[in-house]
Amino acid sequence: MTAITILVDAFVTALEVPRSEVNESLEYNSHKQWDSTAHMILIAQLENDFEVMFDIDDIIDMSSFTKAKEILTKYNESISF
Amino acid sequence: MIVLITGAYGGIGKAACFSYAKNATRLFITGRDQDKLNALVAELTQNFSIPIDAIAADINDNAQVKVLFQHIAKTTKRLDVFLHCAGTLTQQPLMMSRFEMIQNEIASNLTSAVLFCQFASKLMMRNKQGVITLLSSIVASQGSAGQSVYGAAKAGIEGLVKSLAKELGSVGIRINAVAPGFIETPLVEHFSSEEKTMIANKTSLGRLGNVDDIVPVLQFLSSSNARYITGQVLAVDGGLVL
Repeated sequence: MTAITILVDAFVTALEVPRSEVNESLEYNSHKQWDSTAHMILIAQLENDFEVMFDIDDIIDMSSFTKAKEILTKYNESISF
Repeated sequence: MIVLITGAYGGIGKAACFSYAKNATRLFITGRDQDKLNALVAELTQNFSIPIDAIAADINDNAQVKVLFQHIAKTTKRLDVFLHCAGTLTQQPLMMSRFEMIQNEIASNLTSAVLFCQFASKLMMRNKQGVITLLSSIVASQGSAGQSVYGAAKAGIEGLVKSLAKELGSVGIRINAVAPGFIETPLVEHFSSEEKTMIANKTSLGRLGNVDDIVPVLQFLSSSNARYITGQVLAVDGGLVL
C-alpha cells in the first residue's frame, strides 16, 4: 500500500468522511467533521499507521491534509506522497 | 490487557505491579532507578510469567517520558490501563519551602500526571478505549499543615481528572483518581509512631491504611465493573478527618 493511500485511509477513518472529501483543500475546523476530538483521533491514527510519535508543536501545526504530508515527511524522509 | 505503572517500586506502585501482573498480558513499569526496577522485575518474574518491560525514566523529563511511550508504541502498539503512582511528599511549612522545592513538588505530583496523561491518552485513542487512574490524596480536599504545596498539586490532579474525563470520554477513555488517606508506605515513613497513632484515631475505622486497602480499588476502577465511572475522585481513607 502506498503512503498516500495509507494517509487518505487514516483521514477517512479518523474524520469519518468519504474518500472524495480527503483532498488538498481539507483543513482543520473548516470541515465540520474535523473538530478537536477528530483531530485527536487523527493524530493517534497517523502515529499508529506511520509508526511515528509527533511532537506537540507538530500536532498543533497539523492544520490541513497538505500540512499532514509535510509533517510526516519530516519524521520519515523515506515517505513520499 | 497492556498496563503501564509509574512509581513502580514505591509502596502503592509495587503492590499494584503484583496485583496487575495477575491479569495483565504485558506490564510496563517505570521509575527513576533502573536497579530498583530490575530488582522488582526479578521479584515479579518469580511469581508471574507475563512479559515485563522495566524502563527507567524521570517523570519530570519530557524527552525521557517520550522515549518510554515510543517503546510502548513500538512494542505493543496499544495501552489499555495507565496507573500513575509516582509522586513525592515533602513535609515543610510554606514559609520554609524553597522555590526549587515548590517547583519540584508541583512537577512530580501534578505536571508529570498531565504529561503522562497526554502520552497515554494518545496511545489509548488508537483503539478508542483505555483507563487512566491517578493518585490524589485526602490532603487535596481536607488540607494538612506542612503539606500545602503537596495539597495544591494533588488538588490539581482532581481538577485534571474532572476536565480530562470530559475531553476523553467521547473517545472511550475513562479517567479517575483515588485519594488515599494515611497509607503506610515509604512516603510517610518520616512520621513518628505517636503521630501515626494520632492519625489512626482520627479515622472512623480506627486504623491506618495499607497498600492492600488501595490496590483493589485501583483494580476496580480499571475494570469493566467501573465501565460507567469517569471523572471521579474516590477517597480511600478509612473515614479520616484531618
